[in-house]
Amino acid sequence: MTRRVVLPGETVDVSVTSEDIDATQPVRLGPGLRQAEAEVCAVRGGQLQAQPEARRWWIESNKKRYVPALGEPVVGQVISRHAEEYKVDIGGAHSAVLQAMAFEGATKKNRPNIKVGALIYARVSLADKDMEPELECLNPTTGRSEGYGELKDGFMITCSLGHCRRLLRPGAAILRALGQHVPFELAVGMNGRVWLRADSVPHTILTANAITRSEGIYHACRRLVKQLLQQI
Amino acid sequence: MPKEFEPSISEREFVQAALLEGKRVDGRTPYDVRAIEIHLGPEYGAAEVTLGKTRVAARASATVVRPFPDRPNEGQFMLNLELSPMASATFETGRASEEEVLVTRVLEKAIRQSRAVDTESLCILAGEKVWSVRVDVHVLDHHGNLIDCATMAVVAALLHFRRPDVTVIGEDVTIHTLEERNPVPLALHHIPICISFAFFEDGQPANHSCPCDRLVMDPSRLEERLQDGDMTVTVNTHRELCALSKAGGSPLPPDQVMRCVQLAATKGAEITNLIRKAVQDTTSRTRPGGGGGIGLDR
Amino acid sequence: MPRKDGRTTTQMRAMSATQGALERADGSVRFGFGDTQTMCAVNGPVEARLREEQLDRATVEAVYRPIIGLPGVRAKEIEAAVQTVAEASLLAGLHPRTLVQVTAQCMSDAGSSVAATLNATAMALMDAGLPLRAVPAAVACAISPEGEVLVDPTAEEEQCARSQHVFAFDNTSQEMVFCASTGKFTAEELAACHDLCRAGAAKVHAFYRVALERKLAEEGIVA
Repeated sequence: MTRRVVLPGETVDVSVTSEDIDATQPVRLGPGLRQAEAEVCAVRGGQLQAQPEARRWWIESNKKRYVPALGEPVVGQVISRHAEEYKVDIGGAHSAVLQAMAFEGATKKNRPNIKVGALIYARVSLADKDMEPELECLNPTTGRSEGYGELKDGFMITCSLGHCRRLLRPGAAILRALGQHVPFELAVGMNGRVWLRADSVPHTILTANAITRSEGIYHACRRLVKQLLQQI
Repeated sequence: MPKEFEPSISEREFVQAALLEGKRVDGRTPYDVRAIEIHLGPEYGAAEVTLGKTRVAARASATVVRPFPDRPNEGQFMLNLELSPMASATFETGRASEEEVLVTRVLEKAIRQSRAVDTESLCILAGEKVWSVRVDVHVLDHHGNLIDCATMAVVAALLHFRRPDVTVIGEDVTIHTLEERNPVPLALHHIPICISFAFFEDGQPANHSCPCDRLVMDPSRLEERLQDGDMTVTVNTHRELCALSKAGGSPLPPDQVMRCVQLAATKGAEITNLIRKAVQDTTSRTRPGGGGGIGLDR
Repeated sequence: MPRKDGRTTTQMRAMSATQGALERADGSVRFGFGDTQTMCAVNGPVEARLREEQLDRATVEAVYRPIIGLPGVRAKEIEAAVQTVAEASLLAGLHPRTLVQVTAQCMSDAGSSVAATLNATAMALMDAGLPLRAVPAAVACAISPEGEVLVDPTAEEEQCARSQHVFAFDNTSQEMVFCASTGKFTAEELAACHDLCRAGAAKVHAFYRVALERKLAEEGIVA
């Protein structure tokens, strides 16, 4: 059985169960799983998920505290400026480093000027448990900003990491429901922070409340948005 | 222990911009107080109050002690509050933060120094034995406005509390268990309620006739961190002012103070009724037992 | 012989748990055996102060607070138990140079408070999504003056008990991870208590699973 609820410490059988699967392929363990000698153990409570053909296994669960992982988009707050870099709080255990050169088109002479307290949308470019995480505001393959950079004006809300993942999925119900009534833009970080901006103060408040309150609501998003619209 | 950073520029500017339009970021209007929920029991004197997402538990208990020599006819009343890392990861145990000192002092002023508890009625045998009532306040979740929430919890705990009945024959004092005799409620002189306000400067001369003046009732954590000044008004049901505290911050014109007192008096009456109703609903249901509020954990 | 509250000697009180009970903490659970309730909040991994930072592992900082009065000797004892159990469960090596704060708050004590506190701690660590080696489950028992073993004693039963015991077992090997006994008892009695509590711990583990299933359903992860 591939989909089941596991408690931490329970072993997971990742052996090949069908002849269609290429047994020479390596097993890939995602979040929540760990190899302990010859066995695979769960380290987190949650729903065991798998793609048996690709031999990928992971545990789906929700939490609030962010642990940086490579390539994830995050919303951070600049906490100090240094000669060559910015220190950025991304909600993890350690503050992250953002090189002044890690912006699109940045040169020694022409570098971005970001104030302490500003919000930025960046991508985690280095994540290791023994090192300070590093960020960059560009896509390393294209060298373009692709939406990363300073987030001006707007407002920021926090929610659980699971909710953020849901918001990042294409066609998230609440965003679709909101979009029918209010124009807005938003930057969702995998670290439980969402930056958003709408055309007016009431609309920004509405968007913020709708996204916060939609946590735990999966089917009644439209009703929630209608309800909030009436309150304006 | 993680540090807490100042709110970001975006948050600061948006909160201020919204206030200019008379709106708050959580969808409230300036005079809206967050939803209040009161849970009491199972033991006498156990109260848990939530104000929005802020959550405070208070527990009243009584022990028999010898009175202070200079006040032989008076019982004792104590308040104890400590902010543990449960409320917020930034609090450290064993070291009082500035916030902890501030909250404790306002609570002391509002409840103990306004003489809410009738300490004379706590005397059992003059000069020999009196009740010492203590209320332990535990902040479980800190989302702003601890003072108001903690006062409500303490008041609810005091109203819900029952101490064991005593009989005094000559010098002999018998303390009856809860099974033997119905326990006795505390005598309270009045019910103080704290209402806190946060003020925001706009860099221009204040315009009080404008509906968007910068004053909010029951500030959230974000508003507290951004505020330029604050004030806590303690009122009771007799529409009396019991205490007023304003620890620094931006200066206030006198009429603003008066307006806050008026607002607090109205809101205070509503909250008192809410607490009274909650206590009435539960006391009729509470069964005795389960420790009865007498300290076990010592 | 049935007990005062109508239970048999080996019967435990109904367990209850509110997961994610607090908004601010990374993980929080209010766990209860009947009227005994403990709240536990876990924050982590967060930044550690320099002096408590460990280069190869996360530091665990446990705090226990009684509902009445200032923390005394008994509270320090429970705090040490929480610390031991949390350190034994946590895979601290996966988050070096960080801090995991565990704060347990007694909400009401109607007996077996230590066991409730340890279970609240285990569930809160799980709720926070921290990497765990295993989840422990604790059960208390008391030996009455008549020599009967009472599982999950009430405050009244604890007070007149000849001895009191708390055991915690993990869910993988069913082996003991914590044990504390006070009072006068024989080796045979201790062994009997161990076996009864182990059977009780299996029920607590089954409860954890039900609680986790419910939480996942509420979060929309399990359809």
